[in-house]
Amino acid sequence: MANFDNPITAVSRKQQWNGWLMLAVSAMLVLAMVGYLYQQMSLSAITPAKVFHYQLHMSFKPQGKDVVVGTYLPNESERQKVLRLRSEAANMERNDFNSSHGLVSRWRGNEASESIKVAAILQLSSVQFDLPTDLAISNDIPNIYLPYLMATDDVQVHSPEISALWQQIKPQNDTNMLAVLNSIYNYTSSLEPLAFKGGTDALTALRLGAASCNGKSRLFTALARLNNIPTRLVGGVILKDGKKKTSHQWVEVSVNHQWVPFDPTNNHFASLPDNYLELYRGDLSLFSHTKNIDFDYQFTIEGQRIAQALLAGEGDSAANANWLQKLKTKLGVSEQTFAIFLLMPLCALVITVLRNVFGFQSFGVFMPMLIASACTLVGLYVGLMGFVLVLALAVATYALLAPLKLLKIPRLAILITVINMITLVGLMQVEQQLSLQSGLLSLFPVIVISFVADKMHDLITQRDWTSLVKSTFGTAVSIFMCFYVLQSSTLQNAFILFPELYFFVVVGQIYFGRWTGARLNELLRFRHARKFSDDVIGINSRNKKLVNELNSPQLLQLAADKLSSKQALARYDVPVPGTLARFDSLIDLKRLPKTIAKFDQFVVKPNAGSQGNGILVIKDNIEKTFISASGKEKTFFDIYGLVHDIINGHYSQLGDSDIAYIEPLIQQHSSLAKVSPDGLCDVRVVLLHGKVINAMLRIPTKKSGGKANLHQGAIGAALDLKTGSITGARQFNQDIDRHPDSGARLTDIQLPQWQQILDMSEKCFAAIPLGYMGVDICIDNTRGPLVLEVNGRPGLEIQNVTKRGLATPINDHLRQVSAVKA
Amino acid sequence: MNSKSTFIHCLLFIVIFVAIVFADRFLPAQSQVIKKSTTIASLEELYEEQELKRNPLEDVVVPELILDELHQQALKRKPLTSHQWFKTASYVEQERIVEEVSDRLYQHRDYLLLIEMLEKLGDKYGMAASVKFYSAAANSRVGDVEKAIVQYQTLVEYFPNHQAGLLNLAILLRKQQRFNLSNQVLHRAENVSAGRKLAKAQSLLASNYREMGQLELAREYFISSIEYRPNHAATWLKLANVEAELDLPATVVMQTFERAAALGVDQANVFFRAGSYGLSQGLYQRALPLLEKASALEASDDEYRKALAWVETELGNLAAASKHWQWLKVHSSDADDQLLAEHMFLALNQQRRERLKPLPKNLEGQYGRLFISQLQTSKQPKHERLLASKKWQTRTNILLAKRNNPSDLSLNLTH
Repeated sequence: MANFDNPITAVSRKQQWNGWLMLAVSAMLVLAMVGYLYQQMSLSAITPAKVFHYQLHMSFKPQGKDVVVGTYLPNESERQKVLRLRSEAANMERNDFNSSHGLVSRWRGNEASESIKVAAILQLSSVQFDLPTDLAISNDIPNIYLPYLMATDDVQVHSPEISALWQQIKPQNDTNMLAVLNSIYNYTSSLEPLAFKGGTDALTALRLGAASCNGKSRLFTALARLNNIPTRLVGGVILKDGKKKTSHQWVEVSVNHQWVPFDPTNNHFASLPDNYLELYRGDLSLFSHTKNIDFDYQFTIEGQRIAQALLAGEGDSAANANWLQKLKTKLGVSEQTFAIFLLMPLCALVITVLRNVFGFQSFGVFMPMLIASACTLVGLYVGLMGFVLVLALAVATYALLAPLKLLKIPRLAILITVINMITLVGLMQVEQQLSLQSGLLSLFPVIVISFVADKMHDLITQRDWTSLVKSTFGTAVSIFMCFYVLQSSTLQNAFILFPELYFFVVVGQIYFGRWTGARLNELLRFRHARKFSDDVIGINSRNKKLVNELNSPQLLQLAADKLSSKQALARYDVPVPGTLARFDSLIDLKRLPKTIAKFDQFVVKPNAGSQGNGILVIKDNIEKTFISASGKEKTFFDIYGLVHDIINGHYSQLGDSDIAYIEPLIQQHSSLAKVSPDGLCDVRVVLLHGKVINAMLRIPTKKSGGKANLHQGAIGAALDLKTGSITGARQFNQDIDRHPDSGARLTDIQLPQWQQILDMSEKCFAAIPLGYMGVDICIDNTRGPLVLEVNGRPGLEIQNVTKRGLATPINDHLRQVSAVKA
Repeated sequence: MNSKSTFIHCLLFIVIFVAIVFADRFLPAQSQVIKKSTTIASLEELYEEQELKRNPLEDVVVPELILDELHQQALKRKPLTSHQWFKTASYVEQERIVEEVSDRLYQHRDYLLLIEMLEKLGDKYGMAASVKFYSAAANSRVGDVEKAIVQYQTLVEYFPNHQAGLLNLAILLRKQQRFNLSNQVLHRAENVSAGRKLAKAQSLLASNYREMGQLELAREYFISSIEYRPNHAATWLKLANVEAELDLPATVVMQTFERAAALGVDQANVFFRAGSYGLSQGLYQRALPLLEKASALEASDDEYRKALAWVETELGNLAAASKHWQWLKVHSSDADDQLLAEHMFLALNQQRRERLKPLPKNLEGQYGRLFISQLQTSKQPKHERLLASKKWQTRTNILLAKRNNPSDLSLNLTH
């Protein structure tokens, strides 16, 4: 149990209060905002607006002749707002004009033209008419309405069959406007709906007793005109998510000189819902074009709930816009693109929380944010699929490049080139679905993915499937969360209306930058240690309180540079393994054959490597065939390739090039041979300001491939700090008491030369004064304990192995230091 | 390690996130509803009408007077190239002249002259799609189908989107029973056509598939064709026939027949075929108005009258039935029908028939015998052949069922 005065534990308790405080502040903030909204601008300001992205794609094959294509474009009206309208048509000239039927657009082009794209963002309102019950049908029709009473080829007003039908369905009071319209509407809406794609005239609808929207509307029109009620057809599109070729027709009836809509097909009496896009008025075709050009078309519709505030800079509301809204209008970017800019900082905060509070790993820290921004333009599923595809391509390209053993930067450059080319080809294929803007913006994360591929390929080659799965899952969660944030109309509204919220985002970032609580995944990871000790610390605490505050960047750099740190340690008489040869550049490789020919046993190491990667242990040299620690045969070229890779920085944690060096093979101390038959075991000693606070023995197994890496399956054995005897052992989060390969008992073994190990460790602090450090020591059969390396960021798994948290010894020591200082 | 702090932060994050999701999902989207009452509003001003021309490209204009002269020259079999205006015209103008004169000759049905004129001009002026089309169509009209086919093939090779060319070519191939080739052309036509032309292509495809015995496919294409041309009675009728051949439920087929009849307002044959199907399937009530309409349109047609007589008889409308049988007895051009009519008339009126020749031995005569035996509750004649016949099976079964269950007898034979 940790003492209440324990500073680190106390900090945690303090953080608990901070959490509550944060909750209270957030709640107050939300309440204040809601109150302000009610006071100032009503809640409707933050409710989303419903808009539709309307796209019309027309394609044709002129085949050697000039071509003309015409259609009706969405036009402004009382119930239709056209927020944006643009068209793309290569080799064509567009000409618009208003007619009584609607906004006509006509494209004229040559034989090279082949398609026209129209894209609009629309905001529609529904309309509901209240019809007077006592209005009589007038016989005195003004001249301008006379065209709407006429018979046509398809609206056979004067057909005896139409008249006969009217006699059957007419109401008792057949001079009352509402009664007549009711009868006509009831009859036409009761006709069997048949999805005819071609036009149906009024008589056909009557004769078949079935019709599509066109037939029902024409029959409605014929019956209304028969009764001297001016009526006209209206054509348009019902805006419903998806792709389609179907347009729609309904009617408008002049009641008291106002055009009142009726849709007998979808049962709308004197009303229209808010997804009816009107394109033209009259009994017309939506398209007209030059003959025999294999004309085709498709509507693509996507509804979207978008922040009302993002639209406010447009049109009549521009005057009341704030500076952000004005900026958006000035930049001329789409709402979605602006929302990405707007909410990027919040996404960064979300990523911080996901990593530092939940403990999610991901490929690249902020890469998910960029993928999410691309997803907002192409859709989440398309974006995620694209991400997976590009990643797969990148890893495949990486694997193909691997035998060439290229330097890191040119390798990444090739990856970017390949992915870029494939992406461009891909964009050509999906060009119909993507606007140019989306395509270009998608390129950015695509390039970022190339860098991720590097890390991913490492995980695959190391067969580190757990990290791979964790990172993939974490990346997916982060992408999804960021995507949601970027798409959230509530957040879009809030940030554009209250740019002050950025201040809170910065405060949040600072808060989490100082927060040293345990990550959610660490509660699971250290559940074993927490059973025995409540002073276990997490990564946030280690990074903030120990690494950042006690270790200077220069010393961290020195610790990561093994050759330099060996020299520093040697200066303080700390025994270290000798260096047989070093290879600083590729030119030095000339020396390699002679160098290794001299030795039967040696170890090749990267200077700035980590986690045992890039290390090759040679146990024997039989007629120029080298035998590795695992018994595999290695040729000279294998060793040459490894040294080449090390120099090229394949295993470096510092930069794009490294130094390879050769050390003599350390012979395991005879007392440990039984315990560690599969490789060299080492002692990890953790020190704080030069005082040993914890230690464990890492024992390689077959599973770990002879490496003393706990994550890869090595055994961690807890050491008694006073005696150096093993008090317990763990492998893969399970307590064990025997070695899984040899069956040798692990407990009750005392390490030889323990006091010397402790002394050496403390000397290391004198040589490299890292406030918080890990020292890795092996015990050579002849030379005794040797320091392999020092580590400026020693991991925390030691807490699980030794069942001792690090908080108490750290705090005890810190308290002693302060007492001494005092 | 303080788990509470972690949980609080995680919980807070989740709560905020859920709150945002909730707000996004459940805050009502701003959708303005415009509520209006129809108080008298001011009159709308009409915009000046501007029609969109189908093809407003500037065409080469040839003076009407010159065209008249050239047309006359062609009628007199004089080569166009000898005309002064033609000689001095540019190549584009010459092409336009050939196109216009071809059009005139084709419209006036001077097919031979048109063929002759184009042959004299040679390939130089036959490059325009319309000239190639007129040439092929004229050859087709004069009966030179092989040449027409070759010319249509050339036309659609140069102009793969020429809908009329593709359709006409397919029709000629169909006439030659080259259904597979015809279908290939029609599938191309289907791809480049819209509206009525697409409907026509699909209807022709359906007819071809019907000829090839692929009835399901034929039905699909007829249905699709109707979607683009719902008012085309003949396609409905063809669909009904295919549905009948496919043995679809009688009510389904009958509805299709009725729709065909509804659209074929003045086509007696359509009404007759629809009514006949209803009669053969025992749908007498639905068949009656159709056959009445067919007979009304073609009062002197004895086939129509016989079908009407039968349906009235089956429905027990004895007075009406007697009237029609009597008419057939006198006016039918077929001796067997006259004999059948006489038997039926006498039987319905409970008069003796001994002096008459026996009923014909065909299926209709057999059915007549069976019907009369039931009417007179006499010995049931043989009827195996009737039950084996697709056309008579249903009616025979209904008749036999009535005999076996007299209580269900719907016929009211009392005068």
